[in-house]
Amino acid sequence: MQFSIKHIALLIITLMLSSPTWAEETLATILSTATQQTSSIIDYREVRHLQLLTTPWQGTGRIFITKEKFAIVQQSPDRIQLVANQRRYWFFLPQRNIHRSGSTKSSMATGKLGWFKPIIRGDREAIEKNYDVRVSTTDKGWQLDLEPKQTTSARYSHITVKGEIGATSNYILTQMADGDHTEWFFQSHPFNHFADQALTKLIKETRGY
Amino acid sequence: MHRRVWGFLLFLPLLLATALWQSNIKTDISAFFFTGGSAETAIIASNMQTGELSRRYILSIGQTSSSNTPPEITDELRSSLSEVAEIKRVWGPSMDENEINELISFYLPYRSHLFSLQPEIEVTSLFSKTSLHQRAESIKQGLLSPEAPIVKKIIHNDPMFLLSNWLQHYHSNKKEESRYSTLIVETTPSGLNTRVQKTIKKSIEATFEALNSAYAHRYTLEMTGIPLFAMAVQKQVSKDVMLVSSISTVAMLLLFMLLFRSLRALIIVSLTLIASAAVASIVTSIFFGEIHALTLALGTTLIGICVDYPIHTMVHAAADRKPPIAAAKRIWPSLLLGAITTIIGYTALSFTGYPGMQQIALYAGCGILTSLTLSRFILPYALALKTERTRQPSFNFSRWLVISRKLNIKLPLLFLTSTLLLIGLANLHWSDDLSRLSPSLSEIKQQDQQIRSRIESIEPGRFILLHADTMEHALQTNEAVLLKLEALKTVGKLEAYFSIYPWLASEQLQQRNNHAFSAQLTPAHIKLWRKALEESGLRPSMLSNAAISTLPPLTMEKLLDSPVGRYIAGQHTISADKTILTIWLGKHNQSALKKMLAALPNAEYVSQKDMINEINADYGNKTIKALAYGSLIILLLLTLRYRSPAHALHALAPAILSCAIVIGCWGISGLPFGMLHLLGMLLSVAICVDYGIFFIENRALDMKVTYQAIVLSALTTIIAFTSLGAAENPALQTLAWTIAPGVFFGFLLCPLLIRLKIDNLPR
Repeated sequence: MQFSIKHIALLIITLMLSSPTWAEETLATILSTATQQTSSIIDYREVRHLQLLTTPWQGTGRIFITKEKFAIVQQSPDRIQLVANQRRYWFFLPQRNIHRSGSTKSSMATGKLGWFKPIIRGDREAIEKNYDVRVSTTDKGWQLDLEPKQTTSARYSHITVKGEIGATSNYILTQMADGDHTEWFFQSHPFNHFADQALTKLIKETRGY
Repeated sequence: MHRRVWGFLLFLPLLLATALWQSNIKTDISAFFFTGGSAETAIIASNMQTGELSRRYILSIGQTSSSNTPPEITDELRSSLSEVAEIKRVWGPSMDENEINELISFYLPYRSHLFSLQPEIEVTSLFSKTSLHQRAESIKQGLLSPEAPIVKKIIHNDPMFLLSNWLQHYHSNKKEESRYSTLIVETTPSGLNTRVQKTIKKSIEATFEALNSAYAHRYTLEMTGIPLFAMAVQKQVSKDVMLVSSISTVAMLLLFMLLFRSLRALIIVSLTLIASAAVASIVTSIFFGEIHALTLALGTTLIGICVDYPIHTMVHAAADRKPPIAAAKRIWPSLLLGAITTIIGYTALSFTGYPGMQQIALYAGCGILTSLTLSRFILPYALALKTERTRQPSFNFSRWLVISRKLNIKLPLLFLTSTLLLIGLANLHWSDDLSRLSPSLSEIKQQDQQIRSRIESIEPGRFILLHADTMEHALQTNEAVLLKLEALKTVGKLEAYFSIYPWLASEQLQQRNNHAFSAQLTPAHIKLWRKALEESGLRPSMLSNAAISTLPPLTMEKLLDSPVGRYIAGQHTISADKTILTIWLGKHNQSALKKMLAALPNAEYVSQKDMINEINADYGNKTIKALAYGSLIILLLLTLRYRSPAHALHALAPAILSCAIVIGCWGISGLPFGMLHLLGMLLSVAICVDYGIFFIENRALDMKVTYQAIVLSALTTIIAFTSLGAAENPALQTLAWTIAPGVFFGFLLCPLLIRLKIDNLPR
């Protein structure tokens, strides 16, 4: 028993001492999975739990990611398109024929896209610049808990990102300070020639020219 | 040396030092800004000079490629420019999140006050079952849109989302994106402070260049705004002053050296002219507090007029065997009369209403009087100093005098001149184009038009002007006009309009809105609203607490004190007893708009071109009056002097006939002829009549000597006004090409027309 206690104590000490290094490596591993995929298509389902709504709202859509471009198209209930490059974003509501655009550095764009793109792309520097990151793992997968460093200006008070071991994220939960929260469920697909064509068409349509 | 000469030489440096110390030379355009005749145009012009609009640059950023995408550099440029010293703020047509939040925070308490232009109809219809359902649905859409955080913030205080109506008014005229983006840069210093504005302009260009290099110079920058016009005018005016004064001085020096071949004569006359210019500058500066560079530019022509008095004194003194003082005394009455007639001409200029003319008149009057006084009381004593008397002119101009004496062609000349005048008048291309008075900044004007056409859809130069005794009445008129404009917009006769509403409404309308809401917020309607919320899937408990704000109505003072005030700059002008509001217009049907406004007495459709023509017509009437009164006073003065209207007409005849020839030639040439030409004619008459006076009075009792002096003074005047033609400013050019030929023909006609000999001339 003494041996066991010694060993357990040693194990705890070892785990405690080594946990930062282990977490560091895990975060790097998690994000490297995302960065390895230079282009991808992600089907998503979004569920918004808003206090003002009696029932959660649900939407589905597709995300296109390439090295240069980024696009989200919400397919249901209404179609909404958003595309962005490094500098600018374009927003299009086909039903109302509304086109808008702006700089990705604008505070509005940073609020809408700033948190999302680094996570999906695995941009560690951008994530760590804005969030305190906590990593945890289970047998089945990993979990990142992001707490904004600037709590007053942050759009979300907490972000949880989950994924399977060795894979990119398949779930994101964004929580707002007032209690409203949104869940995102992801399913990745390989990026092929047809996806590239669809993305080109989407960009043209969203920009309006 | 005579004590008077000593005194003058000692006093001159003091005079010069005072002139330099006292003079405050202005090169900006404010003094020559059109003020207009009516209270409305005067207020607008004043606002343009000193108001917020005068401190703004409009930056248009475009693509060098054929791409239609909006320039990506704009937001970076905006934030970088915000850091530049002396730049107060920078914004674009679209607002950033902070500005939107600022706007929402300001207007949220006034959501019901500014809800509608027709509260009795729209507030009532808002509480119908369908309308409430639509409103609940729009709240839900807003909560699920990318603007959800803003919507949540609004409905927290405004559960019925009334502010959305205000936002719709604001967004209704937005122009779609293009390959150009626009930024408005507002500076802290005045737009007319060209010294500081030059630095600001350079900073803007340098900031853009630094950012553009990171984009491989993909973008172009164009600018417009009053500061740029002010700088361009300042540059042109400075250049003109330098050019005209240099040419005029060099030409005068050459002429003097050629004719008199005497350095001493040159120095004497130069000192007289310097003293005259110094006195003119001092008096003008004391009277106006400043002296405009254009006054100096036109003032340099005075060299050609002021030099006449010393020339006459010198020529007569040289020809006389008596001391120069005697010659000066003898010709004094003629010189005095000639000077008075010239001053009358310049004084008449100040009554034309043309901006800056009062200053020019005072400057000229002082210069002429000083030169005249020095020629009579100092110059003869200086000429008497040396044994070697100042030489007579080395050229003899009496040949024309001899020829003309042999020709008795008065009647044929009158007939020919009349014919020329009639032909000229028949072909005269009368031009009311006031832009000829302003500097020829065609490039910068064209750029201004281009840039403005890219910003939203405002039609430059056309707007609706509303005037009332108080702001409240003006706002009420504004609201009445807007209802009619909405109707025009609905039928497609007006694309867009930009009014002070929805930024501000009359107190009366704000109260009507609040009363309408008070009347409609009944328990029954609240129940209907709860039901609509439920049906849209919204929680009624959180959104049914609809209540109106109890705040007093929003006032102009409060609005202007807020950061929101900048959005209505240039749309309101307030004076002690008048308030003017403007409504800017998009593409529109002019006749429909005019017809619509005909029923509203305090609202008028203004076309800037029409307004300028109106101002011009006003100037025109004043100029014609000034010309008539000026000529009449000169005629009256001569009649009194000669005690005979016939003699007076004789003295005036060369000047009048000369004007007829010049008008005839302008008419035949087909070139535009306008008010400025008439001004030139007036000055031409005022100057030419001097030759008639000198000729008739013939103080030397030797016509050859008298004519010699006339020829010399006419030559200097012609040279001075011809030099003015080198200026870039079209106003100065027009004056040059009217006065110079006028003076030339005037002096040429003297011996042909004046055969009169007045024996009993009052001495």
